Amino acid sequence: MEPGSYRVHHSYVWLGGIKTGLVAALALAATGAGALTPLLTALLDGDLGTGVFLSLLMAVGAAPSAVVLLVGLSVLMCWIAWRHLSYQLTDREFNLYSGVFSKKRLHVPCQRVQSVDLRAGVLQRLVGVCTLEIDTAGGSSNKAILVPYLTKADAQALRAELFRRKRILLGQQSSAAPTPATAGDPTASNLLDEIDGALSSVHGVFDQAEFVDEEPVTYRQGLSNRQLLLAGLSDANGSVGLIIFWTLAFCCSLGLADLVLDGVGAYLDDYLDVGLAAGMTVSDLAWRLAMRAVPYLVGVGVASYVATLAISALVSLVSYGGFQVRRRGSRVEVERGLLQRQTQGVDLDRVQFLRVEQGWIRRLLGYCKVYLGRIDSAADESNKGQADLQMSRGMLVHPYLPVDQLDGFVRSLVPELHFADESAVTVAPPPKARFRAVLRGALWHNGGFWTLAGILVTGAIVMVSLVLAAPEEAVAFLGAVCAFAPFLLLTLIPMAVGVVRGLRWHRGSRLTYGNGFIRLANDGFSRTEVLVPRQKVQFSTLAANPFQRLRDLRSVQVTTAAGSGGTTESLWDLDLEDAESFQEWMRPRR
Amino acid sequence: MRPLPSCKLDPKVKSVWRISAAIVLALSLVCCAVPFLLAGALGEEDWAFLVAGILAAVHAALAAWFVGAFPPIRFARWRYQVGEHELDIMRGLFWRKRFVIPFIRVQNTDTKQGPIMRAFGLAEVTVATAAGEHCIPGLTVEEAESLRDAIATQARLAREDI
Repeated sequence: MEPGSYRVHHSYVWLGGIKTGLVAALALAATGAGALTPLLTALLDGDLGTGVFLSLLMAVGAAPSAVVLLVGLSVLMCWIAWRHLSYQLTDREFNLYSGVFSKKRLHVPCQRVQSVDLRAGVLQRLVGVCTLEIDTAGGSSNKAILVPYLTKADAQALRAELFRRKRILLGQQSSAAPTPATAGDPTASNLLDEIDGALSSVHGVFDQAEFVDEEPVTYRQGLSNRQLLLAGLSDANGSVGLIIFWTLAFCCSLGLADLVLDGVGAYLDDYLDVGLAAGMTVSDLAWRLAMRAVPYLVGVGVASYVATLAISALVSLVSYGGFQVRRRGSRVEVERGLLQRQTQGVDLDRVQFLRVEQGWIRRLLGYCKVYLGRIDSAADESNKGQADLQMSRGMLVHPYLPVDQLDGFVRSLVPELHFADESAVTVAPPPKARFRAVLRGALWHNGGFWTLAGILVTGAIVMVSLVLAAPEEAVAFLGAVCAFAPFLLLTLIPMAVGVVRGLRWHRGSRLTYGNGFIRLANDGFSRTEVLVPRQKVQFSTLAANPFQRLRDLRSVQVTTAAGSGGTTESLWDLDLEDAESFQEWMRPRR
Repeated sequence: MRPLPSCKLDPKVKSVWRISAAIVLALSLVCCAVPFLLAGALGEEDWAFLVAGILAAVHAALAAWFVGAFPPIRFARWRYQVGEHELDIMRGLFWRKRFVIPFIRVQNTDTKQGPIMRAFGLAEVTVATAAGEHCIPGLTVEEAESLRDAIATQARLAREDI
């Protein structure tokens, strides 16, 4: 790519214009439909006066013309914006000029470029354009620079050119890629890859020449059908969906609240009358009522959980479509997403950590998820929360890797991060930390315990206020509480699970350091291992709360610049001596 | 047990903490309690005085802690040491933390001085890394300057990339 000034692709005008226009039209249609309702009711009432008829005709005629007008207007505005949007590449820097009235110039010196990502939505993919995202070094306040609507070949060429200029400016040679231990498994492909290939081939319409990167790919790895399917399934998370579902259900039921409450109230009145007439006590009745209601509630809960589980499995399956990780020169590139396509990359020198995660499902099956930590700019406007979460974990380089292939994968993809831990120091939490681990698992870091505590405290407050205000009601309340007490025992299940988790944490957690690397392993039902190069540690911390001080224990924390604003990896409850030796080792030395 | 970092803050910083806490609490008391006092005086509603009284009591308790008890404890727990290659900080009341910050990781250093600090001839030095800031409050101006210069000299030797 020659230095010079360039425009972005013309689909910025019509695709962007049509998109914004359609969104506006949709909003208009929604409000319009509201306005139409009275007209329709008038019609249905048989009030066929000419006035009503005329206005109906106008509404029907006006709606399409409004849509056309809106789309036209936004296309026009996009055209004006497009005329004033350009990027410029010189020997030393990249500039993005934008703005119609207030001019804006974003300026990046080439040697400050950290990573260049490509992103494309479904429509953009079909047209063959994508958004280029340039990240500069760290700091929570600097934003990524977005160059929208570049053809894929242009974007790839621009990316290669930025990295090439950066290398020249920093006086580096085009680093020879290390020979990988294995050539990867290029045959590993899946059904979605084919769909993905078909989707990608459509872009031939606008994106004529396939860009050929001068740096060769030394290692590439995709997903097999089985890996893809299982990766999608084991990433399924129903809990978020469940919360959304119940919130929605709650909101809907609020609308019907009067109806439901009247019905339920009448039912309860009947139920109480009949029951009391039959000589039963209130607490008995409450118990029987609960027994009747519980199956329905459980049924609805399980059904919605399964439904959201399936949906989220599908979503993650699609997001892994077309997955491929590549080693190109000194960079690692990841491409994925069937509909929303993203291509991320990180330079080996910039990798902050290597993280291996095993959720409990993956662990049972013997697989893991591998991330590389990298510095990101502050999240852009869209899906900020989710982006933040992903950033602190790093860039996903493999969603479903068999554990026995992990070593070969790391040696091939990032041989620089291979940790020979033979001569390294390994320390584990001492036996005196076991009790604390169990307490933490069963109580402090356990949702079941806090649920139980919340219920008990609320119950106690109600009880006390009842005793003070209306002692005669208190006995009945106590009876009801006792009737519901068995349900409270349910919270003991997560607490028991927590005990096992604590014991497993104590048995399997490790800190290993030496040879320029630090490895922190936190065990439990799931397992997380983080490998941090020593020179990437910004600062290290020993932390202790009063209980840890009592037993001479310390938490070890190392903070890297990964994510936006840093990421801290920690291991609790090491022996004071071990922790201090580690911090001594962390001190800079000549 | 390794030796603790050797330097303590300037003792005058306790007065700075006390005065700034007192100012914040006084302002907050005025903002919270005055509307209720006015309501009580104008509307002759007794509960307003009660609320104002409770607010005053809460503020008195907070003042006892933040103006009276906390500054000496915080001062006693605050230690730092400027090593040859790294900055060592130890602080915290409940969570006691000890940080080791290599100078080569320092991105920039600031010296700051508020009006109260200036009255006591103190300054604070902020040391920023790519993953967050660390602030040493309550150094004499000369100490702050020399610390900043030392860190800046070391940081200049740092490598370009993170």
